[in-house]
Amino acid sequence: MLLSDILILAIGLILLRVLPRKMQRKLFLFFTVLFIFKLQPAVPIRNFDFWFPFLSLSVTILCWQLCSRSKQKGDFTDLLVILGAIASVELTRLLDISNFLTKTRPPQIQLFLIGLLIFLLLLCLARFLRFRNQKIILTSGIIFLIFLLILLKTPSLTQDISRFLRMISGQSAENAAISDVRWLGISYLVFRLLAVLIDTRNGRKFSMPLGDFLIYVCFPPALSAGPIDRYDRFSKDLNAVSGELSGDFMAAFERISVGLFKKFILADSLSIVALSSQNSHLWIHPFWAWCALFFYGLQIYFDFSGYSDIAIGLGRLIGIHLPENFQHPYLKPDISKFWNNWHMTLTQWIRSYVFNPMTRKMRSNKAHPLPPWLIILVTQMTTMLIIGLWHGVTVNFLIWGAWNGFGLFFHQQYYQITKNWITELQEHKRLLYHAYTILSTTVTIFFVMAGWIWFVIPSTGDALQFFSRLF
Amino acid sequence: MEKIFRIFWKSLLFLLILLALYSLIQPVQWLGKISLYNRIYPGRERLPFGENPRIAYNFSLNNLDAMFASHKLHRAEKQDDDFRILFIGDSSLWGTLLKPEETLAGRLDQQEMMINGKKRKLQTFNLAYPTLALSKDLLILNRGLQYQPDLIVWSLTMESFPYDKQLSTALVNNNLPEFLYVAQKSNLSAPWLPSSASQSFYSRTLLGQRHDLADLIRLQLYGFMWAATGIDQDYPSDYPKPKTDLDADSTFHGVEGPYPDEKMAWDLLTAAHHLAAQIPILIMNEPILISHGKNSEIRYNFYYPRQAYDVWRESLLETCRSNHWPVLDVWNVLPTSDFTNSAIHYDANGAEKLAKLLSDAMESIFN
Repeated sequence: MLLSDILILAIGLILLRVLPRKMQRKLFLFFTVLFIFKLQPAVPIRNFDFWFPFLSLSVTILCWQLCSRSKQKGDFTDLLVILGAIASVELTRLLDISNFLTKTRPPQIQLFLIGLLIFLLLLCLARFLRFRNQKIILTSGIIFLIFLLILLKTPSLTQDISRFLRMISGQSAENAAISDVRWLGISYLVFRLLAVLIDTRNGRKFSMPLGDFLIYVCFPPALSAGPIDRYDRFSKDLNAVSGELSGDFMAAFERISVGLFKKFILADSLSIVALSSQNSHLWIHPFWAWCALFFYGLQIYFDFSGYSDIAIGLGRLIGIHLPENFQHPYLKPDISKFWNNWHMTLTQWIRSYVFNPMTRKMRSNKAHPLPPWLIILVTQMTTMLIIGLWHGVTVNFLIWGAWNGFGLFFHQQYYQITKNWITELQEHKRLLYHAYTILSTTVTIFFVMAGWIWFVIPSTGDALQFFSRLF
Repeated sequence: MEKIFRIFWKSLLFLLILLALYSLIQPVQWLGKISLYNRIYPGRERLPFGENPRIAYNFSLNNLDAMFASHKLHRAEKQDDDFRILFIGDSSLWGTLLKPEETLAGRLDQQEMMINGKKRKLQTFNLAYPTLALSKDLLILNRGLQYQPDLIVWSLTMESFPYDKQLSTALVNNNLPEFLYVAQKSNLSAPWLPSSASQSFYSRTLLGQRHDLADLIRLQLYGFMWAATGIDQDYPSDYPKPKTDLDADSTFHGVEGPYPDEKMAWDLLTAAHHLAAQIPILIMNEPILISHGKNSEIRYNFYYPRQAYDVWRESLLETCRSNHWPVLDVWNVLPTSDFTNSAIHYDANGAEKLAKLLSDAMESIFN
């Protein structure tokens, strides 16, 4: 998000907040749709700065259609508002103000109408299918979304997508690059949709109105970098929005200011001196290499938590209390607490939809009971590998996931052995306990920082070479 | 809502006071003197310059205080037997595509030489700056003289002489008040000199100076990368070679034949000598590529038509002779193969040859 986007978003949300409640929700929906297009970065593939947001909206509506038990009259109006907002974006092509909402000119009207027609046909199909064998339909939806994420996160497949999209757009496939497929917020969008599909498949009743659901999934402040809120919690806030702004305004102003400072001053400055894939081989002394590594660790923290602060602050402007995403993770005394405080909403999501069901499943196997340490190893490793792969399907992200997975497993085993001793220290030898906490925090920081090497350097060879530079 | 408006007005008032104070205090200049270089990081071997900071870990800025504070000269100690030489000039001397130790200044540093019958250790500092204008050399010379040099080596070429280049160079243009002060100090009165340097109100405000302030922070940040990698410019593996097949064009800056003396900044040479006073300046007519391709009978290279350059070179030598200024004319000593990406940028090999010639010239001047 650019500074100008944040400013426009803040003004827009304040104006929406003070509107009469009757108009508020529909205009909020309209504004959300427009802003998805506004935030989408430029894409070298023709018209795809229009089609990517269009697809985000389409997938969201189709998922809602598959899951929802909402029978409100307002849903049809919501659909009209969404289509009206999309049509307004398309209309900018005719009014010659095409760079206002999209980075390039929206597609020709015929293409737009074809896209719209396909979407409406799919919507009818989803409506037709939703009461027939819902479990299979929802499972198919889940598989489709996971497949979509894999396609977009695997560099070779993403390159193929770029080649294909370039071909259908009449552009040279030779220039296809991974960076062509910059689909704003797709990782977060998919996780929000998966949560709804999985819950519905597990028998949970889902009756969120279409407009609210789309605002939840595509909430502009949280679209590009989270946090990943839960739909039931978000819905509660959305229904409780009041016109009284002053209390929220102060909190929002403070949070946005902190976020801007973290993101645009600290993180952007640190990016100059931080370890990167370009400079990993340049450090002439281990001291500088360690500094660069720590600067990277701080940069990614300030960048990410700064964005989260901005999102949380912007959310407050409209009365939405987005969940916290970071709580001083680098000051935690062990890797387990670090992961409970780093990108918290993602880890909570994975815990809810991967770790807990998996643990339950493995523990419930009474016929062939597994030893607890093996259950912990498998579940923690799977959780961390998924978190790694969510960032990209590459060897280094996989190693990064495994690095942290092993870290969590070993910490768990260590904790089992030492917990009595630590409790005794905590209760009777406070000074020693403080010294122990400082030592364990330091070890944790070094472990996490060393893990970032796999995260920041895409080539395994280069990452290993950088490790050797540290000593 | 009332509370929000109250906060808004208070914030606005605070902001206005802050902006007014900033415009009055003008902190950019003295902030430039605060530097992590030579304290936490080693000083730079050459003045900051670069167009691709993310790769070069170096970039161009206009704050002379900050530029000098980042240079190793700023905190260099001078021993009794040190013979301190400052090198001023353009990109060829600064060392485009050369590592600091490969430049002319780098090659001569720490060498021993007999000076006036005594063995002295050369302590060289590269103060060249990659733009072609004598005016910026004068500006830098004035700063450099504060560091007790024993000799100035001034590497120059014809392209730095035309009047119209003197004020258009960014470093001079953005430091015009200081340049006018230096001009006055060195008795320079040239027709192209403006009588005063007017600054707009906007350029004195925090908003107008936001880039300058950001540059100061960036310079300190890139200092970390300079210290940690030793890199201060982009070294591409491949670059375009200078043209040796030239257009049949015999003009220099649009003028056919010899370039008129009255359009050349000869007076800047006199001003520099006036400014340096007792400190000798060794003028070096820097090497140029002499092409042997198409139309090479008309032009030496992309920059110079033969006739205009020959006349200028004769004038330069005559001016030096008549003023008893030491001069080293090495315009044609390097073969085409010693040039890199421009007709005035020589490679490490060329720099080594020049270092030998310069060393010989210095010995003959001082003994």
